[in-house]
Amino acid sequence: MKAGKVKKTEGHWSSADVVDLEYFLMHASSSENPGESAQQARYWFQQHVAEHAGEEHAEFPDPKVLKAWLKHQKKQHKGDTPLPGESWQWLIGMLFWLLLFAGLLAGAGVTASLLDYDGAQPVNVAMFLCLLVGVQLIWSFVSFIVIAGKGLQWIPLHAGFSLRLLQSLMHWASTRLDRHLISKLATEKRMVWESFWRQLRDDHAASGKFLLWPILTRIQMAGVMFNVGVMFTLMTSVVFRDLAFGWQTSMQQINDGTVATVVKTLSLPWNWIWGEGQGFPSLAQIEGSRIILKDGIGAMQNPYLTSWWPFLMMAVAVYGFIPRMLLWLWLSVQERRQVALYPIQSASCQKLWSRFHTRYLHVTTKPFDNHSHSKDNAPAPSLLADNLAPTAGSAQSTVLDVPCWFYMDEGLGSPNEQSKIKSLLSPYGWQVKGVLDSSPSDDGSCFERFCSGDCLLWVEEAWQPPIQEKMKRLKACHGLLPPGVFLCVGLVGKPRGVSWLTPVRSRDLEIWQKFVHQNLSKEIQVRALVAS
Amino acid sequence: MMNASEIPTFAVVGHPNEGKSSVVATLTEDDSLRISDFPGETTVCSDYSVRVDDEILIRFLDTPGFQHPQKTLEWMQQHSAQKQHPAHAFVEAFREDPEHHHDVELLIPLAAGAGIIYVVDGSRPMRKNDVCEMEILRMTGNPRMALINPKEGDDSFLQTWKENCAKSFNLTRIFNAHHASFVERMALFESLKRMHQDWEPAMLRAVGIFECDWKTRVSDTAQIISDCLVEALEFQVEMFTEKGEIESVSRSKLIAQYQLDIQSLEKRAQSSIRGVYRHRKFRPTLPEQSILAEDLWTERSWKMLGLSRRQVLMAAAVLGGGAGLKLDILFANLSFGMFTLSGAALALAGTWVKGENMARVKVKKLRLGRASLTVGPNRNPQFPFVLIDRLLLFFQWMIRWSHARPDVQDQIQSIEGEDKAGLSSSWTKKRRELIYKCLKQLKHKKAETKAEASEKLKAEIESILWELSTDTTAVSSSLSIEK
Repeated sequence: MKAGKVKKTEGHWSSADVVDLEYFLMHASSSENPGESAQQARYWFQQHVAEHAGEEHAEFPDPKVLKAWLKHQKKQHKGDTPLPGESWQWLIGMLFWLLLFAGLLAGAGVTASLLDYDGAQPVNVAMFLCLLVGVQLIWSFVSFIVIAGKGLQWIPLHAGFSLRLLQSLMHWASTRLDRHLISKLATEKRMVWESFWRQLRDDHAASGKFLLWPILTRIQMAGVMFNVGVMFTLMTSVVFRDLAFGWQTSMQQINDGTVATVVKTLSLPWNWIWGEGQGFPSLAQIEGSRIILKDGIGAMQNPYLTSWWPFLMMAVAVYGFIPRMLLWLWLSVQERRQVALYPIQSASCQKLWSRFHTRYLHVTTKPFDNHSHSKDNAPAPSLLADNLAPTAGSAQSTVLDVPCWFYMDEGLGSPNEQSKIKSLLSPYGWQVKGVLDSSPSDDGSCFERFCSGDCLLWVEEAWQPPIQEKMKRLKACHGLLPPGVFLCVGLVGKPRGVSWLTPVRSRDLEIWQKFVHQNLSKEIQVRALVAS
Repeated sequence: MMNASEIPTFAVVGHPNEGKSSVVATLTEDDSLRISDFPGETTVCSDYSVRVDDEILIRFLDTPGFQHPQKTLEWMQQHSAQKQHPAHAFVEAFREDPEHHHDVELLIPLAAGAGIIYVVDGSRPMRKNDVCEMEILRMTGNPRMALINPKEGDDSFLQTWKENCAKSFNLTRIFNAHHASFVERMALFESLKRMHQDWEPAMLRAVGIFECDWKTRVSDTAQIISDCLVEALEFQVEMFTEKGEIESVSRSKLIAQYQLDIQSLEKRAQSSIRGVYRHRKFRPTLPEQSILAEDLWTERSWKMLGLSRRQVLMAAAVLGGGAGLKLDILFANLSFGMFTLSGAALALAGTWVKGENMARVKVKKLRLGRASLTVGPNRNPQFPFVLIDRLLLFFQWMIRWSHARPDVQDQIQSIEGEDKAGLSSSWTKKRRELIYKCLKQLKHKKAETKAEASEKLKAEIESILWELSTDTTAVSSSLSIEK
């Protein structure tokens, strides 16, 4: 991806993006190898951003870069379960439609009930106004105070009935999701999901950083649709039904003039467009539409009875629909703002940003490349065709019941005195016939003293690895042996103080046996000199 | 990016089976190196480049062991009059000879000017071959260091080795590749810096990057442990059933499910820590006697780990008293410290009662004939401390588990007896109280309080981890002798 491409991915962050990003980050931190995911993040950043735009460490994360990373992660996502962002999108999508229809139906239903007119008694205008305008006006005012208070942090975000309601809703949704989808996943995956949902429920919904606003926006949409339902029902009822509107009171203090004043005041927002008699009823129309039950409806004039509907329609529009619409717009802006702030402000994005800028330490392996000296790059010969399974413990000594000529190759304190060697080895069952002073591999002169059936006991320190140089000397010695004389490599362990005649580890014996038999001859015996 | 000559390059050489590959694996923290106790397994010279992103910081070259030390030395001595670098001359002379393949592979990097890290097993006596090898390396004239790797812990031959190495090498260090801690590795890198003046800036930079990387890893581990604790403290298993079927639900099964899930959380955290410390290829197996090999829920784990009952009660009393003190201050101490005393007493009593409680099944009757059965969250005050102890022990084990010995088991935390033997019981009073307070606040309903407590907990765990990983007592075994 070129730097330009990163720019092209610039777009709006949605709450679903936020949910997905949180999911990926949480998944990465709980994975078996967080180092690997850090490496991947760094690698991606270097490949797609730093290489083109330089690696200047900006203090705040760049939303465009994070969005591009998220897009890359989504592409990489494999699995049978949808991403949580999709589930979240589905959830709020469902909520939107549910609340939209619920609002519409509620508005239409309440209005239809209030407009119930059978020719006996006109629709009570005061009741209509109280229920559909007054209540809404109070509700809108309280909503505005609460939402603005939360937005401006007058009211703590974790407080409030609406939030508890939202949390319950989230809990309900996630429990359903858990039961139907998550419970079917493998344990590891299930726990990541459960943990993720718990985090969303407990932390983010409570702190209201980004999940609160989409839900509040959708609730306001229900309010808008409620008013649409009211206006639509009122309009259709007026057009297609014979309706009569009137007002009534038992109080002497409330007369036609008072009502006219209230109506005129309420219609201030629109009376400059539609004046008296059109946008609101005139005093005569108010007088004419007063219901006096004992006189009955017959005494009232028809034009007066229908004069109220434009006022009611405008009151619902101005005091119900418009405030709700404004609140919805304001919440939508807040939603966008909060979601847009998320990549810059959230701790997880800061962490990811820091990963992008943390140099990744790792090791790469390859054959050493300075092979100009080497004949070719052919595989090197291994000293053994196959390996041995490790064994532990000391090797058992198997004494040769034949006369032996003793030779010790190097540096065990030069104990090559015949009598000393004999006395040292005889308790272990070795019959030492003589001790050789010089290396039998140099020439065959020492073998003149040997008889057929004798053995050359070549003593080696078993802990010293059998190197090729040593093997060559043994091979040369083996080639010089007179007929009937055989070679035995006698092994001793690591010296303890002044004693060199120590037990051999089984593993060392095995290594020597394998080495000698594979590289020299199976005729050469390899034995431990002393028992453990 | 540096060119090849500016990159510090070290050839790790020595006799077969002395632990050369182990040294490389430990220094590079790469457990993919083939390490065997069978001599002659390394047959070619391999380049292990430590990189930061794509830039090479240091190169370690793992080489085969000397196969013809005496003959090689003889040859070099005979041809010492040549102006050519002795290693280069040897390589030129024997490159077509398959018998000398190992020696040629070993000397190629030396001919190219690599620094020498000569590895010897300090737990064995010195022999003629060793003297020859040291002389060969001395003749090359390359910057060189002897690394005495006491494979079997026997130090009776150490003095001889040190004295002899000092004659042929610029620097001698004791470095046990199987037990090297972070501090020891850093100390070794510091020594490598002194081998060649030209490499000093690059090595200085590399050491800085290693330290920074280690800090990041410690911080990541603290986050893992803190997240695990937060999750475990809130964790609960919930089951829905019909009201009439409550009695038929196996409560012990539900508790077992809860315990299994908590164990899964612990395993997941352990696995993440293992990844942070780059034990990728091999899963270190726990010794049987280790407390970590035991289940989290066994009586022994709870007996040995966590705080003592007295420590828990004291921490609770201090916290309760602290809350009461605020009220006393509010009343301008007209209450004569009654709130402080009452707070401490209430917290003591509450903790005393909770101290015995483990996760229990709670039944909640719902509407429409339904009921829910829940296990957890675990409110036992010991629970988080036992879990912290287990994760800290695991961390300690991970940082000490060498990348060089996938098949070797170490004796860790073999805990016997009746006393508390975890790490938390030895914390200072201040630390215990701070962590206790954070754990308490994690149960708070207010998200901001929880988030703040979680941050504080992470910071404190980070400082504990840092102390554990930079424990200088581990360095005391290291010795540096400069010529």
